[in-house]
Amino acid sequence: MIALNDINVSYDNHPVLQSLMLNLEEGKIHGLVGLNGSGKTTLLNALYGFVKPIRGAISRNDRKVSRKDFAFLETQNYFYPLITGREYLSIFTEQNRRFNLDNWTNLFALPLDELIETYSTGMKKKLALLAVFKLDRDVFLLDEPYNGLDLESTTVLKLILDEFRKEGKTIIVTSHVYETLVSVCDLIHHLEGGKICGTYQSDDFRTLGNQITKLVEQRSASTIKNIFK
Amino acid sequence: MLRIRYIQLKRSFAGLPLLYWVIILGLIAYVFYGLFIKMNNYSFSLAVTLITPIAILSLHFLRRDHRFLNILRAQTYKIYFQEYFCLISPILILLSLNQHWLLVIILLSALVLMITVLNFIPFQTLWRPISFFTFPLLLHFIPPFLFEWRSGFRRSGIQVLIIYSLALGLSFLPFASLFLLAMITFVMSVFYTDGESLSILNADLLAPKEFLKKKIFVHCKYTSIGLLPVLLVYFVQHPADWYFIPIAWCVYMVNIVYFITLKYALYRPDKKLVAETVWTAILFVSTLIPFLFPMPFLIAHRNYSLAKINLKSYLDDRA
Repeated sequence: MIALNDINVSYDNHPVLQSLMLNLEEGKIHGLVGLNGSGKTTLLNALYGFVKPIRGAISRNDRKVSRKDFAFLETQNYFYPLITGREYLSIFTEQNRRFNLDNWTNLFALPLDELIETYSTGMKKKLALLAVFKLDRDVFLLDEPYNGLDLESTTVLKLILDEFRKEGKTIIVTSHVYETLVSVCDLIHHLEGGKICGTYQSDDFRTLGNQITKLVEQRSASTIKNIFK
Repeated sequence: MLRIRYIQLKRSFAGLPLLYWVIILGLIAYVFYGLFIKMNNYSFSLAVTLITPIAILSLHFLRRDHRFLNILRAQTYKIYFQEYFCLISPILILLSLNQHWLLVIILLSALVLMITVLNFIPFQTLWRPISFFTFPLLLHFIPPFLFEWRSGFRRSGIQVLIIYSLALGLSFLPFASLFLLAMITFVMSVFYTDGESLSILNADLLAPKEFLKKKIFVHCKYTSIGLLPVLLVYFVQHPADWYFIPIAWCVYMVNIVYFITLKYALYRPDKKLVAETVWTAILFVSTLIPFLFPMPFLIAHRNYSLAKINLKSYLDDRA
């Protein structure tokens, strides 16, 4: 169990996460959903340790977490200039002994010997994902993994995450596209105003979807009306 | 174009305190006077005359305005001549003051020849076949974890290769090879100007101190392996001067440590190092002036401590 207890994170005195409490059961795929600025990325950054909470603690099975527990896919994937995909992947120490680069390359159709600068957005995302899978840590933190992926790769990624879940990995994933979470997650946590306002199981995903849609409508309806007045 | 350069220079020096001006001008005067005395010696002047076009050529390949210059194709000869003539003019003045007229003619001829070749063969045309044949072979010898080198060789490998070949070829001249190897380490400064992503930085999950130690050890080791053939050839040519070789080696290692510690002292994820040319210039000047020899070591030592503090924010401190 990964337990986030009373997590508070602020940027320049602006609170982003406020007394956040969350328990993440291991061996499951957890979705994080929330509107822009709700604190999804900050939460993942706090889990990985890029952001230090001003208050609160994060533990895994009653011990303090460390980066050794996590493999992190950031939203924006930056690659060192003028290196090839193969060189990028070789920077990451192979933890997964079953990691067969040729098989993964076939699956993702990546030109690994080309410079990364020549890759499309989707190819860059797939390369960053390969690095995460190569690290083979217990917990995968995937911030917007579907961004830039085409329909085929999106489906492939869902199948891959499903296989990792069967292997007992814990996966925490965010997405702006709610449907992508619905099709893969065991649980979805609704983050709003820096707090978890609810955790939903697959039976209740539709209810959560309706709630979010309603929230967006309430927030934007008057502005849209003003624009089209 | 010279006017643009003047404005760029003025902008980069704008706001510099008076004290810095005095120090910079003092250093320039000191270097100029020191070179004037040294260049009384014909062999030294010959070495300077040979090295100057190489330095200009290195600078040419470092230029990042090749695309812009392609737009001005009709004027590139004039632009190159004006800019590079201005750069070599202090050397021309020093050679003239020492009445080495033949060397003045050689240097000017080398400049004209070089510019003519560079003008007729545009950068991309020259670069592509060389990079196509050389780099796969060269990169084969660079282990993948030296990603800064692999990236750096793709950017500035041609300069390194030219200078390295010259260092081997000119090993019969006293000190020329040693100086050229130092130049290679200066060119290598561009290898350490890009900040890697946090994922790369955290790939080995090391604490700041261990991370820096490993980085410095590995990079110094591979630099030593790379420079060893030239140092051996130099030793065979000048066995009596053997004691200069370990001194030169220490200078090269300090240079590499200087760049690594500087990179991580100022490291920001995914960002380019700010004012890297200024830091390289400080190192270059320190190598030329004997009483400033310890400065790169002292700066590297200070930056090592700063890098440890800076990396604490980016490497895991919870483990």
